[in-house]
This record gives sequence, structure tokens and C-alpha cells, in this order.
Amino acid sequence: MSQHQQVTSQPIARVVRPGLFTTIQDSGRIGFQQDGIPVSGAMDPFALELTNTIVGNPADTAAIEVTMQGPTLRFEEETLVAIGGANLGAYLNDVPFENWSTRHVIPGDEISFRIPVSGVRAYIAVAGGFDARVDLGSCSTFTKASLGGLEGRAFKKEDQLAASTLEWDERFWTRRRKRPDPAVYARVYHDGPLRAIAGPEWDAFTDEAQRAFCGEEFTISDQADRMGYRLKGPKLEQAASADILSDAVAFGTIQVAADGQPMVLMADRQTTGGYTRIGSIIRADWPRLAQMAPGEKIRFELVTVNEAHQAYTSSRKHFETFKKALPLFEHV
Amino acid sequence: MQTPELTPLGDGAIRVSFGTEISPEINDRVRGLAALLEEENCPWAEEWVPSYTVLTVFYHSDHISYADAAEALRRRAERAASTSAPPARLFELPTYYGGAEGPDLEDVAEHASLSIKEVIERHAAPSYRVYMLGFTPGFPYLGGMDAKLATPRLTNPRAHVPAGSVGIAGGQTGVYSLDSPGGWQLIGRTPVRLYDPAREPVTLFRAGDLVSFVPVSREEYERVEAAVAAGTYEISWKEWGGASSEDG
Repeated sequence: MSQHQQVTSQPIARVVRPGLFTTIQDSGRIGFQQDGIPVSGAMDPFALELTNTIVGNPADTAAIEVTMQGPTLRFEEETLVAIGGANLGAYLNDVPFENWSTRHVIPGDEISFRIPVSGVRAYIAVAGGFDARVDLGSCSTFTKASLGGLEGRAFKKEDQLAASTLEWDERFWTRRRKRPDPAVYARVYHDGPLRAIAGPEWDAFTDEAQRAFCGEEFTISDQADRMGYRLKGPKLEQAASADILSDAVAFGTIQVAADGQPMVLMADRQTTGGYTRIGSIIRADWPRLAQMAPGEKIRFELVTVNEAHQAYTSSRKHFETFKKALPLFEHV
Repeated sequence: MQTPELTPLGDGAIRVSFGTEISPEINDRVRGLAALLEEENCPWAEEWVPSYTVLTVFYHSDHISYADAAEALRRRAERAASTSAPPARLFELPTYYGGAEGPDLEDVAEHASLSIKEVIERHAAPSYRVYMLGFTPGFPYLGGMDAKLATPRLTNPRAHVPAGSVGIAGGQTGVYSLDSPGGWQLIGRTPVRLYDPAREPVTLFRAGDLVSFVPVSREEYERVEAAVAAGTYEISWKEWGGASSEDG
């Protein structure tokens, strides 16, 4: 990581329009869940990783998470910028900014978004990473407790964005036409059922509920944000009470309240919950889940922990090969 | 003593469950395992979350398999059982009961068929154990409330409950750590900040701590509130060694 030794804050861009909900995120705030502090971090951890990778950054570098309606950003310095994740109709000035590509920007250039094409969350990374407030070891923005990012909140008009460095690695630009082969992410964004591991309270559900969970279709409701997605579908009945002693939950945990409707917990989830947990969506399927919008249909399939771990490794096989071929990693 | 039960929470966490009942003894075993993980170098364990009866340990399959992680935790849980739980801290929270700060105090008194004075006395009498933190940053799940004070949650939750509000929900009592919506019956408020992003550490309590509420006058409440705002207030706490003896 020779290009990133010097970390000093440099103004790099200005927010012309903030977009719907635009925040700085990295790979999350690890180690403070025992204090009740959510992990936060990128909703789509794979998109964060791949976008950083194609601009020459370590996987967990802080980037911009864009939600549905993107911001307009005006650059004030020369640097490299990459975009990935959802295709939200990004433009660099008047030219489409292709998804999963890296571009060279100069002062006055503008990134903007027009009509969203597919997915929900896009990531914008700059060479060296954005420099934002670090709270508890992470730049990830958690708005409810004002942690990380830009004063712990979503972007506002006229915000100034800073980068950790103005240096960039020429080699990531000369390779600009070599976008990652779709095989690099195809298995991550597959369209099969979302795989889940049976939850601690699986046995509290009726046989019918268990069958419905594995076979029927659920729809993402309008109540879907960084904290979680409420789903609508067949009522998942429980033999006894829907409340448990409050206990830990994780990314992808599916809680079922007394109304029998599931809620999938996401990046800004509370650290503990008091509802029964019918299952947890596996790590390999988090990126796809993060790119699903209200109205989309979900089916679940139960797998074992070992199958889940194998699925994760195999979903990333092409990405690992791709990484090895990049200049940043050739001496590792 | 019950053998801990290990089960997955998704494909990135393992639950080590020591039982199903809320009790200081079981919670001490949760704390004992957490303390062991804290002390020992266990690089695959990313972090852990204590709850009433369970320690949930997070890992990544790139670093360890489920079987190996479970085995490592099982061994540690056995060792933790033979050591005493780490010492706790006892905090005193100055609390103003009633008024605008505790709009539901009268309802709680009526529900319990007690006078307001008796409610305050009974609520301020115990040292409550912080069984776990969750809900919002630094929010303590407290155990040990006088069962007579149990009051159902509000039918219509409030859209805005100020941080520091002391409430009752069923048989539980707690303190809101952030301004948030909430359905607990509010009986008072403490000016002490349970969560303060400008402080190190940002949260006041750790799981296992003990908390008692000290009724104060409005003048004292305002004095502490001003000191907290000015950054000159230091909350008092003392070391508490007998980890299991406090709320029996």
C-alpha cells in the first residue's frame, strides 16, 4: 500500500446536491456492540470492497454510500474515483459513469445521478479514501447517535468532502477500460432464494410457519432502511409468545413480532432484540439483500452453517482471483 | 451447574447459553466468559455481546470454522465456570422523581396502590444489576426492581422521550440513553448522560455494573444538570466485589 503512507486531510469535493440519504461508510464499528452501539458500515459490504479495490484502496476504506437518488458532487482536486454497487444512473459531467469503473477527475468535474437503473445502494470511492470523522475506530455514519462520517449525519448541500491523500496510483487509471469481468460479482448478486440458517427460536414456530418460511414468497415493504426491512407475507405463527429475553442479533437476523410479519435486521440494527428469531440470512447473501428495494419479492432457503461458509467462499472465488491480478496486490 | 449450550446465530456468530432464567448467578457466568475473552488473545473473536443468559461471540469464516470456534468457546466456558465473576462498579444516579420529568409517576402509584412517596422509596431502594446493554447506545437492562412497581407499557408510545428519563415497563426499569420514541411509564429523570459521544468511554455502564437511583430535589437536579452541561460533573461510583450478592 505504498501510495497511502501519508494520511493528511485534503479538501477534495463539495456537495452540490445531497441526494436522498448519502453517508460515509466503511466496514463498520467493530467491538462496541457490548455497549449497545450498532455496527453500521456499508449495507452492501461486497460493493464497498470491490469499489475500493478498483481505485487501489484497501477493502475497508471509507467511501460514500448513495441511496436510490444520488447526490451531485463537484470535485475541487484531481484524483481517481470509482463507482460500484447499484446502478443508479451515475454521470461524470455529461458522460455516463459506468458501474464498477474508475475515472480520473479534475477540478470542476461533477458526478451526478439521473434515473436509477437497478439496485438501491451505490458506492463512490476516491483514491486513498475519504477522510471523515472517526468515532470508536470507524468512519461509518450512524445518524441516530451522531457517530462518524460528516458530523454523524447524512450529507447536506455545501458539505465539504476531504480525502486522506491527493496521491493516486496511475495504474488504476490506465486500466480504466478493464472493468471487472461480470463473473467477479455474478455469484454475489445471484437471483436464487436468499439462504438462511435456522434461528435460535426456530422451534417456537408452528410446522405451518416453518413450511411457509421456506416455501412462500415475502415482499419487502416500504419500511425498509439501514436499520432493517419489514417484510409482508404469510403470517408466521408461533406456538407460544412472540417475546423472548432480549438477546443479541446480527446482520441478516430475521425477527418475527406478534403480528407474524418478519423483519430483517441490517447495518444500523440495534445490538439486541426481544423478538423471536426465525433465522438469519447468510453472509454470502447480504450484498444482494442490501440491493433489494421495497416491492421486491424474497424467498428463503434453509442451509447449514457449513454450507453457508462454503457459499461465501465460492461466491467470492472470482473476486479473489481478480484482486490478485491488480497492481496493489502483486507484491503481497 | 448447567453445561453451556452452543448454537449458531447466522453464519457469523455463536451463542453460548448458560440458561434461560434471569438470575445474577447465570449472568455472572456470561460475564465470566466475556472477561476471559477480554483477557486472552483470541484473534478470531471479533467481538461479543452479553445478554441476560447468553454470550454471543462474532467471528468470520475466513478466519475460523464454526466447529473450531465452538470448541474454543466451550473450553473457555468451562474454565470461566471455575473462576469468580469480575468485580463490578456501583453507580449512584441522582434522579428527580415526578413533575414534567416523570409524567407517569402518579399512574404508576395508582396502579401499584401505593403513595407517590412509597413508589419513590421502593424504586430508589435496590442496587440494580446492569444485565446487558442494548436497544440504544449505553441503554442498561436493569434487573432487581420491586415487583410491586410493575406497570404495563403505555398503550400509545410517546414520539419523544428525553435522554435520562427513568421508566418502568412491566417488571423492568431502565433509563433512556438517547432521545428516542418510547412506551415506558416515565417516573423521573437523571441529568447524568448514559451516552455522550464527546466522552471516553462514550457509554457510562458496562454489563455487570450496579446502579442505584438517589432521589434529589429540583434544585439539586438543576445543579447537576448544569455541571453535566459544563463538563464538570463526575459521577460517583465505587468498586463492588461481591458480584452475586447484590440483588438476591
